[in-house]
Amino acid sequence: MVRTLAAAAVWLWGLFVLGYFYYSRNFLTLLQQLWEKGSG
Amino acid sequence: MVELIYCLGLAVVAAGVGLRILRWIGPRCHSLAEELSFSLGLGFGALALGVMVLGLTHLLYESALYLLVLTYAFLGRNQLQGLVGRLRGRVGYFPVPVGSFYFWVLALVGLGILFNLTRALTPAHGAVDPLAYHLALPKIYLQKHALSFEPTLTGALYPSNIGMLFTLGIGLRGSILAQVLHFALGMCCLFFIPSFCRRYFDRGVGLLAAAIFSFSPVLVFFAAKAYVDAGQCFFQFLAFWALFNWLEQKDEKTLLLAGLFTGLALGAKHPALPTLVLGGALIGAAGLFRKVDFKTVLRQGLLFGGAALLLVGPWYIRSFIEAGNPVWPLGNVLFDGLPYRGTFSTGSVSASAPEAVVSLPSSERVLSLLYWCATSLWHWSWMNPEQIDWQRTIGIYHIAFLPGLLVYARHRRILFLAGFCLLYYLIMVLRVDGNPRYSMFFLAYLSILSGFAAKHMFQALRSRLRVLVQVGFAFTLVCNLALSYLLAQVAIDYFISDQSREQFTIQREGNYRVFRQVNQNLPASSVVLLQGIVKGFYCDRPYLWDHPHQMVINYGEYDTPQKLIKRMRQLRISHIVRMINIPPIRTGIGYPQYFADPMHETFRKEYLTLLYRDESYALFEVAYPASVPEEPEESDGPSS
Repeated sequence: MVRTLAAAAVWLWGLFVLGYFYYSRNFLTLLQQLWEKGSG
Repeated sequence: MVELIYCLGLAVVAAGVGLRILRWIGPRCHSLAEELSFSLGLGFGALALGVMVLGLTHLLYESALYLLVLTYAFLGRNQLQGLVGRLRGRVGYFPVPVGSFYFWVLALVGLGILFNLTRALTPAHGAVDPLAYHLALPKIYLQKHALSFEPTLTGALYPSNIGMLFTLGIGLRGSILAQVLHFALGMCCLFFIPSFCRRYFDRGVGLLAAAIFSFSPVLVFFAAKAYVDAGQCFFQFLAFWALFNWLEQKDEKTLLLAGLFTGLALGAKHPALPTLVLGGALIGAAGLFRKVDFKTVLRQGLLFGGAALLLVGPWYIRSFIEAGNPVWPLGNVLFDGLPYRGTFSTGSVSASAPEAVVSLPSSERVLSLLYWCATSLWHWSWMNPEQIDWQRTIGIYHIAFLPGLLVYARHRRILFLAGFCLLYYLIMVLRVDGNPRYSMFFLAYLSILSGFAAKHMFQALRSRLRVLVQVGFAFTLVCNLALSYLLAQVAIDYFISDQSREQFTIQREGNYRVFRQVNQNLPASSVVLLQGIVKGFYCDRPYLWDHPHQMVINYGEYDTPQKLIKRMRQLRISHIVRMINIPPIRTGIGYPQYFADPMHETFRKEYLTLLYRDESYALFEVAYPASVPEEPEESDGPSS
């Protein structure tokens, strides 16, 4: 039971962190900045 | 593109001669991949040391470099034939089924490598360190045919195994080959990771770990440039791999191999020093744990440390002879070496978080240290687009997956690796300048932990959900691929255009035009003072920096036009290349704003004649008055 709960917590954490990172304003802004730099 | 063929040729020669050395040492290897990995490490190390010997004996000529490569090819010919025979049996072998999840992961990694490779193949431009010393010093060595001491250049006496490979690259083909060699060393690590995992874990862990490491922003950004950090990672990863093997196999031949790789890593860059310390600690701990007698532990320690010091020794001795300090200019207070004004941080907290620095030991300081130990990985994971610091950007996968170890790490090996990484992380945060760039190998081992956790997290799911999650993971790789592509945009545009190398360099490297003027118009006997500039790579004439840290020509001591002109005469400076507008970051470390500085303006009006200027740089000729006679040189001369 404890192991299953721990696994679920680890899973939710991983999904949240990855999702937040790649949809965050920071990552997308960085891509946009690099795009503008490369095009400019 | 010819550089790729050169690089491949050098890698083949390195593998051949490396295999010969490996057979001579005689450690037991678990697989062909492991044998090949160690052979490449020994071979590239042998190439670097061979160039060093040529440099120390004043034989750095193009023909000598070719002779060195041919000699190594001859020495390793039999081993290469055997290796080719063994590899031939694996032609057409692909490590994963086509169309599987791991196949697509590999495909994305391959595409990422391709994007980064285009950056390595462009003419050297942009980044400061490569053009200031990593490439500039090898070029000077080749001009002088020897490992000369350039007292005004930062890093002039640092250990330089990677610099020797750059010297080989520049001598055989040019700076692009040097960049490609550094990139190749970084990409070799992507081969080492699955080879290591094949021995200690399994193929799936290895492939995921390699994918995670290959998209680490710090590796993506730095490997394609002629820095030395991917090279340091190359040797350090092998050193710890051999040490881990020794812990399992307990044979002294493997320990000797670990010592040799440690020496090569120390010879790549000073921040590899913890490899020696931690290696010694591992030997001691293993002795205690296994209840080995003290004499044996001492012998093992001497074997490991002796092998390491034997290979790095020449660099320390050279530095001691030239500057009275084996690690000049670090620790100058300790060794009383040649004066140098720079202060070098060795405490990460001061480097990454000035607010965490408290002058006296206190509870506040302890709390700050604990805070940075606990959160550095977190801080390095997130990117701030306003102030992107690539050397402290490691990507998000470790933060996302490492907690999975709490659930899935059950076996001795993964627990040992996790403990090792935790220990090294603390050393890195507290002692290695808190800078992930200086410890890329640690990120490679951390990727193995993250890959292990990711693989077991995927496996724990039912098949449909697993596919969904794997698609999600592949999507994050695509996002990273977008980052790699955008970084490589300029390089890709260059390759699909008909732009020449020179046109590209003029467009991308601000000081290229002024140095072209210098190279085309100034006599070979000219000596140039670079004011406000450190990127001297494209200057073919002998030059000095006026960097505030060097003590050869400092404006505090020569603080009147009369004193300064006398000092310039002593140093035989005939011309000055000056950056017109010094940015605040440089005036902040002590550079004068020359055109707004009364002393430098008086000096310019009295003694300088303008020969050339563009929007950023000016070239002056120094007009010495008859009252300043030529004097014998008192101090250190120019850089080439």
